[in-house]
Amino acid sequence: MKKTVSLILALVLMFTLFAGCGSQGQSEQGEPAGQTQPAGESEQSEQKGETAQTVTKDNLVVAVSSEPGSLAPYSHNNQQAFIPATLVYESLIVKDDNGEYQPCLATEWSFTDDVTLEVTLREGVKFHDGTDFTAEDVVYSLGLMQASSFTSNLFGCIDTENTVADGDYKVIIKLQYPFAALLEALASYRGVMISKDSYESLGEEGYGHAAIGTGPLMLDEWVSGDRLEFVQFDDYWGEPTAFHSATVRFITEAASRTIELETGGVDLAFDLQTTDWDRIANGSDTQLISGDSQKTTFLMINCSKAPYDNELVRKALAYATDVDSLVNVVYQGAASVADCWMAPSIIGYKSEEQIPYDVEKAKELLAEAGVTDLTVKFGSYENATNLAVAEVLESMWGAAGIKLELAVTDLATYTADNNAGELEVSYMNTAATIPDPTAALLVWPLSRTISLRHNDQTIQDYLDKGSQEYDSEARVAIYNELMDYFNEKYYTIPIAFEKGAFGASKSITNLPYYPSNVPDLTRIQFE
Amino acid sequence: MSKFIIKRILVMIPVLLGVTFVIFTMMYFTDGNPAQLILGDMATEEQIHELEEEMGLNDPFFTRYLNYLSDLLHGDLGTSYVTGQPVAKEIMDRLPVTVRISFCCMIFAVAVGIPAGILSAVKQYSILDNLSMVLALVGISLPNFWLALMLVLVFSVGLGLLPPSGLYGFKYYILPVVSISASAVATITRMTRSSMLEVIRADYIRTARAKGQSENVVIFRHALLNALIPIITVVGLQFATTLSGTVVNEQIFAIPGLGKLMVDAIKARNYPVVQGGVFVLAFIFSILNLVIDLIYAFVDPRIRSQYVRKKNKRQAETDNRKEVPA
Repeated sequence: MKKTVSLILALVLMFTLFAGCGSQGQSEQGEPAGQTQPAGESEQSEQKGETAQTVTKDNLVVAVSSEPGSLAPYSHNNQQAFIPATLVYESLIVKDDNGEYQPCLATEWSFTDDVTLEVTLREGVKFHDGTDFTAEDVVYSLGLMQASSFTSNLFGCIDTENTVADGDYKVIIKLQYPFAALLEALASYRGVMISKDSYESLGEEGYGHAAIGTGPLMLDEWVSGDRLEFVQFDDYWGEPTAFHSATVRFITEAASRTIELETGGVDLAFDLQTTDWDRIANGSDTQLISGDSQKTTFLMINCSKAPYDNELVRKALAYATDVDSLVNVVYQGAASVADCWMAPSIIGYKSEEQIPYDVEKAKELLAEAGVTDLTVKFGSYENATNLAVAEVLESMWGAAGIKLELAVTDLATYTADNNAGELEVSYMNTAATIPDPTAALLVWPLSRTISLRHNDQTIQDYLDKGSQEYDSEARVAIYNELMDYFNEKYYTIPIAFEKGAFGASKSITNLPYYPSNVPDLTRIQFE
Repeated sequence: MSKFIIKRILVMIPVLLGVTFVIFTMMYFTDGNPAQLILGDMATEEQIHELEEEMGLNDPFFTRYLNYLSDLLHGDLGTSYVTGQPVAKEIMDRLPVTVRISFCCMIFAVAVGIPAGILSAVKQYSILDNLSMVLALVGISLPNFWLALMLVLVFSVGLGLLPPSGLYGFKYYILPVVSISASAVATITRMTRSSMLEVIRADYIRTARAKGQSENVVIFRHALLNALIPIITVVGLQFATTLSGTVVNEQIFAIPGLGKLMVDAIKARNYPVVQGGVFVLAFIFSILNLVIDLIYAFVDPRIRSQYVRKKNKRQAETDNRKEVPA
């Protein structure tokens, strides 16, 4: 009898624990608000002072593919981390849909000479930590941007010693040398402002997990490995967002992000598989927001390694590559053939004549170079696109008598080999953060230690000249010349201009495609 | 009994030391530069070298290993290269989720597997037996990530009954638990069946029936209790497997567990998190083995009596020595 009672009690305990697991998860973590309803359902409310009816939503749920290591804006390169950061941080100026600069934290700005930018700041702006946004914060932020290895390509020009605050609401930004892309950089998600007081007290790591900005939402909770919770900032200086809070979930599997979007679990999903694009575009409750990105892919050739230091060999590889077929097979409509080393939206883009696919010419060039039995070691990491490119190239180059030896490593090893100059040939891309050659031609400066290693001072001269030229026409001419020069040298073979896309529920409006793939989430409206 | 526990705990020390040495060595000889990963592609060689020095990455192998052990003894598992957070905190954020999922999986597996196994054994060669054995075979054979995807397609996308990912309430647990525990359910069912079949043919069961005991008492009191030892072993092993083996399903269901943390850390060459995670898992495995041994003693009086007998024997030997005249 005693044992029977014990058995019953054990069973009761077992079921209680099982039930407890569920209820505990619910009460401790909390279901992302709005997730129980299809993302399209929302309440309507008319805001004061607006003639049109504004639709608001309790909670915006966004799915990104990885958890940010930090939300400190100058401490990482993780594009998925910049998406939630648009909710909390703001820059001095912003660019509107027509490409014009508009005020944000700055109300006025003007270059007094080539190396001096005077900026007048908006008054009455507060950080999420309660402190006022002042010129000291701007000077401090610019100093961090200049020093960080992640942002120095855009802000390395800043002369931090002579950049000063002139009162609480005016900043004199001094440059070490003229830099034409400065306004573009300041208007980008890389140029956001942080709170000096909090950064100094919390440190870089602490700030990265506090994410104190001046934006309309503030970070409320960071659930490790799962999600970020944002709530509206009551003291925000501008118009509040059309949603009262936001949840950014980390869903690693691309298929799971698509399913969450389709089943109404999330309102927005990023980094989707291109094979899912059509399904999302044609979904009854979903839409695909897509366009041409600023991403250019290319075959990188190590120009310092024999036999690739011979221009004829590089030219032979170019002739042996049928770029049209390669792009069609690998991307299946998610990219177009690259006819330049920068995407068409970048200043200085020039459509170059495409090198025809000519196997015989490739063989001739190799013979002329005295190279027989060329075996190309193609370095790649575990990436479906890169591996598909390698497979197609193996067949194409094989026709020209060039063997392809695929060396697949993990990403960390690949990066280390690339930086050590060990890679021979590889498939790479540059995703420009701003539509400017400074960001689009990031692999070309001589200071870069990747495996390209062209060691060509002419390129560096063009880059320096172009980045310091304020006159638009003259600047375009410089970069056009540089593109022609690239076309003659065969240092790399441009392959594709990738398209970008993200999925959204049909109720979302006012969110165009951003070529940087980092859309400003605060502008989202609902219908 | 207490001496047995202390002895087992002491044995854990060389085991854990071995684990730290093996994992540290593996990470040491793995390609990839953490300093480069932390600073990004644009970092200059000087910046990278400076950070390598700061992180002690240029120190000799044994210096780094001893430093690691020294920190470990002080309860410091290091700092994550990616987030800058203490590794112990990162692990403690994730471990409860993995433990909770594993615990739910084992409760589900036990609650389904043992009754199914008993039923199969009692009704041997019946339709029920054949059905449960076929299902068990399917459960063992199906990769759990495939099952997870199928369950999501049917119950989330198709029927819209259950959420496809996340872990925010009871209904969110159903698909992960069912998919992860499928093979555990199958294994427990098969083990229960074979163990019960062995026991119900024993003489003492015939005796119990001859005494006029009801069938329920015979099955649950006499047969099941005696068949429990191998089942407990399997449950323990399955629990350990579930704790460390849910990585793929954690990815599919976006569960913020320890497995996902470690896979991300391996990809990012985040050595401290990998080392810390493996150490914590090894520690849990050791504790789990000890607990299983203790449960044996609790369930089976024969094993319990072995511990007590050893103690009594030692006591008797001591008493005998004391009685020897000087």
